[in-house]
Amino acid sequence: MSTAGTDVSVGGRTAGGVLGALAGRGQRRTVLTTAAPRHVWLWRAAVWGGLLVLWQVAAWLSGPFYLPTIPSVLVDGLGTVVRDGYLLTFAQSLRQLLVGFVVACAIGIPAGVLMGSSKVVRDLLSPYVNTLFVTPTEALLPMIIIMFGTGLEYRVVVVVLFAFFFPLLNSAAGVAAIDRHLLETARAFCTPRWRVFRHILLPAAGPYVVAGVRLGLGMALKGMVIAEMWVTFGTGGLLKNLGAYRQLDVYFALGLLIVVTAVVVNSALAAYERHLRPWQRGTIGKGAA
Amino acid sequence: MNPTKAVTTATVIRWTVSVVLFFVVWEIVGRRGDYTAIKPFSQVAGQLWSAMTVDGGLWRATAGTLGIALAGYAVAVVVGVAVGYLTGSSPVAAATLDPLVNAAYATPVYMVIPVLGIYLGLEFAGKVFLVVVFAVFVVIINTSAGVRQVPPGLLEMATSFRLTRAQKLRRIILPSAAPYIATGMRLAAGLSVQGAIVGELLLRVDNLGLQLLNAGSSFQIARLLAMSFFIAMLATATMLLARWAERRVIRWPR
Repeated sequence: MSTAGTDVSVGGRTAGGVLGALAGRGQRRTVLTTAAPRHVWLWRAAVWGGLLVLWQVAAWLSGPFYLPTIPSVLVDGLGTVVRDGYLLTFAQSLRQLLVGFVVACAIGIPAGVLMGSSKVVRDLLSPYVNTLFVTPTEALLPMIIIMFGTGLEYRVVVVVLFAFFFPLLNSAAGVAAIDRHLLETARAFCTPRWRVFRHILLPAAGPYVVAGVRLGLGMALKGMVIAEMWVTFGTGGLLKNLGAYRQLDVYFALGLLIVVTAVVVNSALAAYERHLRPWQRGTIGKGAA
Repeated sequence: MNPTKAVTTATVIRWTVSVVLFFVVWEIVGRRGDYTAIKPFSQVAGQLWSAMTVDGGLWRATAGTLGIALAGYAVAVVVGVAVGYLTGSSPVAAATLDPLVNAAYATPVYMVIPVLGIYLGLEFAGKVFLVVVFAVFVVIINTSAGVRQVPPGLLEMATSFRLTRAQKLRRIILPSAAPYIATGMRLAAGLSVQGAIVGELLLRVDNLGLQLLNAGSSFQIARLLAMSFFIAMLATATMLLARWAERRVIRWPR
């Protein structure tokens, strides 16, 4: 549950632009997570169950043409997803996403490290990074299609454009967050470069980079869905058609699959992030209100 | 979190050099004509100028899109602050709602587009809803974090002095959480404009979406680049305005 806190400290910093990001260091505030109440799962069962009941009643009242019932999503919908090979389509989409994401990290992380360590590079690149970061990438899709067509290249480029900002901005912030005194001490003691890298750079910047990778992966998934929806291809295209032909049970089943994938990947990386920042775990559990 | 840092002359010079170089390279590559999708900057600038000055169509489109963004933004801020306050101050709300908010935040929201027409239509209501879905979660998450970091000592003191709930909210929680809420509102501003443009492109095509797609479908490439450039500038202007507003709030006298 402390992922919310992590998102803020990272998101608030990065989205302020690289300059804002670097200016913001040293101002980290600890975010206290509200203490979990007793019977957490009872409360969750009540609230989440209530929402599901609400859905079910709404579905009964409106009919399957407007909202499918929960059993029909889970049985008929998921059944069709499995039977008609939509799982394979989803897997193929994910594979392309991964290609784009690897490219995005290969560009974003080194560029971010450079921007974080050199003021000249930061000044030269920040106008583009900041402008592209705030520009809705969707508005660039027609241009990208003219450049790259509507095939694999186009989809990979869109994923890269969506995904590379967070690895970049977070790597820059991470490198900038390194304790200068430690670096100076290491230099004074003639520490070998790899030791500096292993024992100073990596522990300081690592959690930022992992957070960037996590947020970037979420963005890559967004890029994948919108790129495919635009040209009616793959998983995004499926969603579009299922909505248009009102096969809502299948639509919601496929949507559920995507949500679960996104949440599982996000939580796994968030857990790894917490593992890298043990000091943050220490703040959890103190009630603030 | 306050991005105020004295900008040095060297930085300004590097920015200028970098940007000028970009436009020069763009012009040269465009003139050589090796790539069909890259027209020289001068031609694009000409298209942009004529689009901005000829009949005001571009400005009407901009106003239409920004209207949708603003309506959705208002809803997102009100709902986001309310829900964020709830999850920030109530452990039960945090335990039950936080996982849902985090899941929604990690999910590609574009997924709602194919069925949005069924429930809300493809016009104003659908588009505003899309904007809200884009913008609301970042407000919730930041507000919640802001409420959680209110110093417990202050709240205890408020209790000892018998402040009412409303007084606590007004005098302690809100001022203390304001910088966080402001950050959420800044991020939401950019996302609102983005959501509105996505709505204009993928729900019923209209306003800025229409300007963009018209140029794209008729292969007036210079015009298309001009429109993309215009949207990028619009987004940048929104971001700068939001950042300025955020700084004003952060300096809010306590």
